[in-house]
Amino acid sequence: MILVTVLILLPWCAALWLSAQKQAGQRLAMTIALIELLLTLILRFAPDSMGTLGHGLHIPYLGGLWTLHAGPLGSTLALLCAILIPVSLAFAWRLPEFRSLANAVLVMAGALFGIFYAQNVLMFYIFYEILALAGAFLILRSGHKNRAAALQFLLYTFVGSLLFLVALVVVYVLHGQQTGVYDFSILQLADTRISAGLGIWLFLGMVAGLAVKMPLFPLHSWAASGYGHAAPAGSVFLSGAAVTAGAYGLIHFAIPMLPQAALEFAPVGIILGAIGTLYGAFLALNAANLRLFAAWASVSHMNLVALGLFALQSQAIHGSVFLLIAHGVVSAGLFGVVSVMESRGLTGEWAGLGGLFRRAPRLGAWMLFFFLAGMGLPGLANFPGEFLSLAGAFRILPLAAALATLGILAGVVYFLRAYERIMLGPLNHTLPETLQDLQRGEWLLFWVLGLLTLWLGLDPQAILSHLGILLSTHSMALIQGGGHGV
Amino acid sequence: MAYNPTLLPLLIVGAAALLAFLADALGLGRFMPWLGGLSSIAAGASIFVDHMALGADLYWDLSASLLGIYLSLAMAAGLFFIAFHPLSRKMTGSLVGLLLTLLVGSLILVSAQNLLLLFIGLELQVLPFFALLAWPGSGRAALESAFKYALLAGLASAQFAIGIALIYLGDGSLAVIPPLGDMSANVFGLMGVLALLVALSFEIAAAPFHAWVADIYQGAPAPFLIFLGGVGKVAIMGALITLAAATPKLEIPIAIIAASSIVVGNVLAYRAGHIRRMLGYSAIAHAGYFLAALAAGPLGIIAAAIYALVYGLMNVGTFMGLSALPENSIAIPWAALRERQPVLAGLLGLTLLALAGMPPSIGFFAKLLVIIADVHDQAYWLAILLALGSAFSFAYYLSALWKPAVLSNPERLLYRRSWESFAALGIVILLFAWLLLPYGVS
Repeated sequence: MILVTVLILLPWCAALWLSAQKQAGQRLAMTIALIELLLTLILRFAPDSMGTLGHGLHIPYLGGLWTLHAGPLGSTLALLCAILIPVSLAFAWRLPEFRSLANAVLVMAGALFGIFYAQNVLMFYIFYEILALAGAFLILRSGHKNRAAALQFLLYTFVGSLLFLVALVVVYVLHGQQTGVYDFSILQLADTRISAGLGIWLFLGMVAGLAVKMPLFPLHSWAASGYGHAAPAGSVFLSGAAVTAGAYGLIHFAIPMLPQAALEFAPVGIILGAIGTLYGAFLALNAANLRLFAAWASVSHMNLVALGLFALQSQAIHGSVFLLIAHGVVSAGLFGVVSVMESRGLTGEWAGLGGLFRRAPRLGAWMLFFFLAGMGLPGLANFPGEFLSLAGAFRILPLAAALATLGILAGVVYFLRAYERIMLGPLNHTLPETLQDLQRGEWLLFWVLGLLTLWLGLDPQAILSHLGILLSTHSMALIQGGGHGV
Repeated sequence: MAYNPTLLPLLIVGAAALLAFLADALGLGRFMPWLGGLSSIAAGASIFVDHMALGADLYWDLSASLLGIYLSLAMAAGLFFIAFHPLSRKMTGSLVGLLLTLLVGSLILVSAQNLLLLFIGLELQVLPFFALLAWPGSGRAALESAFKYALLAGLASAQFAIGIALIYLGDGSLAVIPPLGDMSANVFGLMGVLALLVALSFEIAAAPFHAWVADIYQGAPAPFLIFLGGVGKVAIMGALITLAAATPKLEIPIAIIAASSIVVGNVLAYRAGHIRRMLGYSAIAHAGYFLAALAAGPLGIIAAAIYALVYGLMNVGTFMGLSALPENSIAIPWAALRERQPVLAGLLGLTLLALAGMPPSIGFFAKLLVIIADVHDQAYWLAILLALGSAFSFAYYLSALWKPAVLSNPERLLYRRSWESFAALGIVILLFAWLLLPYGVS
């Protein structure tokens, strides 16, 4: 319990300390990030070291707010998040706005750890809101410093999450009326009897709150302005780690609370995910610049994750969780490439690019690697996840899954087309004469991400075998009665 | 006359007020804020000791004692705070006397169980504001806002008197809980109760009775808005709680006013573009959230009492922060404020987030309680409206936080060392006081 508490509060304290300092504080931020990584590694691979998970901060009628628990899914996602903190900070190392960016990333990281280890749904909600606020701050203070984009992000997430809150309170009140126990603990709330008619409305409210962060298809439009205006180094974290919160909330809280409604919603969710996959792909094909391209590619992949989740079928959920993790790493690579290019003064507009491979072959090679991973090349990270989600969803709604497959196909097109526009073809004359290729630090970062991608792609069983336990201890036990089964 | 513990807090504060009025003549004015603050604390302590005491026409029930203690302590904090403000240099004794009179009226308002007493409380807390809003040393705009307030508050008082008359016509009793049935038992009573509701809605600026609020928030001196928002309005909310608890029939009109307030307040606040006007308009929305709790039956009464308390706390924090700025500032010059009074700037930022309902500040938990009460009463539409309204409110509260504003002359910011400790206390309360909330209600 103490270990997890430290894990959650340490980055917040560091952010508070950083914001009071005058200098940028790269070293401090990076030290904290590495400590967090170490802590999550301990928690992931030696869960017993966590000690007892007592009820902290017990408040009448709300339950033990600071009640922590560690499941394999939460610990794995926390590990992903902890890997992305130092990566994001390293890409931001030389930015003038490093301090604001590091502050936002650290606050988001603390909130994310809270989300992954929370057992009380109200606590989850509180961390979720803090995550949204810090995300808006990141968009506001880095990159283009666009206020409208930050506000749009904030309004989308807050409208959604307050609807989530209302739905949650309805479940809480119903549970209290049925059992006399007023408590926000998930173990209690998952035990509520809810009529089918009400349940579907509640589930819609919860989906509004959680899917907006993923972002699922009709709720996705903040993503382009958000990722497009934040500094790419920040988008690494925003798109890789922050989006996992929504998916985790769905798997861990919404679906177990309302399994029947989830099942009723499943076809709609699958279709929305399929449309989103295809739509995101088309938008990426048509994107105005490299940042937007990476943003839409990420949206397209996350919709595939949603498709797998809503299929409520063991294979598809396995695939979608795997894709969630893979997407985190690959998306970090994509935005990392964008970040490196921007640090060389390239804005990422298509008109200013072309033939870059000749100037920066190492960058070109790594870009190709992550593009190939993004389009789902077998042997790289995305492929097992994409395949499993589609295969699972195909058993439930073949047509929708087929539609999503077209999205993957379009992925091959847009990734290759973008690569051709940036790296191949005749050398663009507007490119600066001397363009620095990857430096040692950047090169190392790409190696780390690249090896992770390769490892996930070649040995997916390392993650998937754990998911078996994880889903049975989490939601599968509750779903299996009513879900679509194996 | 036998000793009556329910009157004790009023007697303490009233005596201190008389003393303060005399103090200017005796040349003791500068000690008066401290005396007033201490007597307010004493009144709060006596309410705490005698809570649940039932007197002839005063009843310190749960919500009344909760709000009574809060009002006394908020008044004490406000008095200690303005002791360092230049506005309190002239005629300090009279200023403190007026503020303590306001506290007497507020304490009567939250605890009275008799319509005439409620009227007296209303007058006692409205009349001091006529003078306070136009206090010597504040500008022309303050004079204008005081005049507007006088006109509209007078109108509301008249409305209140008519309501009392109608109720008396109906059942021949002036008690809030009459011996037979409730106040709205017949048609006169119903009209009377509605008139009372309208009058009190005027005072808390609920839509459609909200037209005055932005002008007054913009024009009045910031230190006195601590008392208008943090004490005066909270007391009116206390009277509304008494009224609604005694008259279940009011739920539907209250729900309607609540819904219109939430919508109107949020829309107007979004378009305001001036920090004070924005706060004024958003006060309409907050009145709506409060009424949304009040419309939700017995649990709603508790939620409403807590919302009133929290709303008062957030107002005290906001206007303490704004007191350091020049009166005519349109936005908050964050850089300059952080430079000179870092903790106060932190308090101001935190209260803006708390007003928006950002967890884990106390503002979020107050809203959560309101949502729980509404859902419990199956008023789902109110809960959803509240959720949407407060999500939307982030747009303007955070704009106030983000808007880059520069102050041409940073010297115009007031700097008081002692305000920093006030602000630190405020931050602790706003961030952690929700831990105590469940103990306050049980």
